[in-house]
Amino acid sequence: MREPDLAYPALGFWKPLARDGRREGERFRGFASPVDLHQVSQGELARGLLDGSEIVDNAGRRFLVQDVRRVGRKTPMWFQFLLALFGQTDDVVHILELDLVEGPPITFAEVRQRVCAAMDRDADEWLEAELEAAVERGRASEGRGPLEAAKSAVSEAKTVQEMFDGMDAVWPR
Amino acid sequence: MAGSGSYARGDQPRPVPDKLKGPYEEVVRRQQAINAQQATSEAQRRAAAAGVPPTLSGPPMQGAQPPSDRRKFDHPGALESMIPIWGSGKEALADLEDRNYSGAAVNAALAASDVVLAKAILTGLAKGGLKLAGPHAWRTAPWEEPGMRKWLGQQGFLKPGQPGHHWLLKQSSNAPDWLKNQPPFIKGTRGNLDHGRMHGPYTQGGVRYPPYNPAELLWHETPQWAKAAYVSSAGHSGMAVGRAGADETELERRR
Repeated sequence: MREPDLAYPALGFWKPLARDGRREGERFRGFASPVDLHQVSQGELARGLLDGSEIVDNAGRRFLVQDVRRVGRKTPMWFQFLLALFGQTDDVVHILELDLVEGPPITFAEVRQRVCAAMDRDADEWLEAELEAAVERGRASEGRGPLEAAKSAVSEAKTVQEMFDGMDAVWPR
Repeated sequence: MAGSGSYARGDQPRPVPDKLKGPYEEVVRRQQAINAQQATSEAQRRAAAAGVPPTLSGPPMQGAQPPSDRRKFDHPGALESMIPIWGSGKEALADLEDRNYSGAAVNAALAASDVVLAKAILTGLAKGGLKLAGPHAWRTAPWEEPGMRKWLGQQGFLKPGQPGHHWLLKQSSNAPDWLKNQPPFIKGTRGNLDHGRMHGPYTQGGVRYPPYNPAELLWHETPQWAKAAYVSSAGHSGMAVGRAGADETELERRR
């Protein structure tokens, strides 16, 4: 096992695997703690969450995921049986060991640019969340307010922590 | 001991002519004739009603029903009438045989509502039923583990971009996420305007739309399965009460 100490929160860039086997555009995932990185559901592993992904930690170091090994299951056996009964085995949570190697340095400007590009790919989710929040307000939103605000917060962030704090602050709830 | 009162006859009775015997026997004869006529009439009425007790939608047309031994479809009993699809379907066929067309229509509609309910349950189960494992939060951010809204989309409960309305346990309620965000409690709406009006007045494109009134709200926010369940439970309860009454009458007759 080769796993360096990461500074959390960390950020993972990954390309989801589509049903036809092709890789979709790049997305990012937040890992607030080592538990988040090492306990992942079967469905997300099947979609390629960690397979060949890049992880950028809060110190700005880049790591490449070389190998992912399932060393156990967090989901109890009885619950796995229940999930199987209802065809929900994608929700079985695996405990993982990762082989991480430090990759070439990455500038934070590049991280910001890739995060903003990934957010644009999820623009529909931002819009849907905003429209849902608008229902409570009683007024439909005009334009892409929260997404632009989130991108603005990202472009001003200097660490991964600041980036997530900025996005959390404007995510419609 | 009291005697006849005649010392001369040695307490022996004496014959007395009965002048009312004739009229009395005539009255008895007439009464017996009336009783016989009534008994015949009652027997005919019972024979006509045998096997054709009253139904949910009222008594069958007089004289239209075939004799019980020639029936193709019998009316279900009280318990049998509670069985979805079977009870109401059998009742509809029996009503049809009795030429009680309105009753047949009501029971056929009840059977149809049972079918809708059964289909909704089976479809829901085929899509995965309830989400057992978390996270059960309604909507998580794109950089977090997917929440319930995404799962409902992946399983086919909601279409892409379709707003999901918490119709029974409101999103703002204290009910836990693992319960209130489950598929049976989420109604896919026609759009944001439809969803907005379920919650209150909604402004879209500069136009302010009023909230749905209580009747509109009940219609728009209640999912198909719940509407079918309302109709089905009310119909079957009513039918069972009617059948229980009919069964009791039948027992009384047999006694």
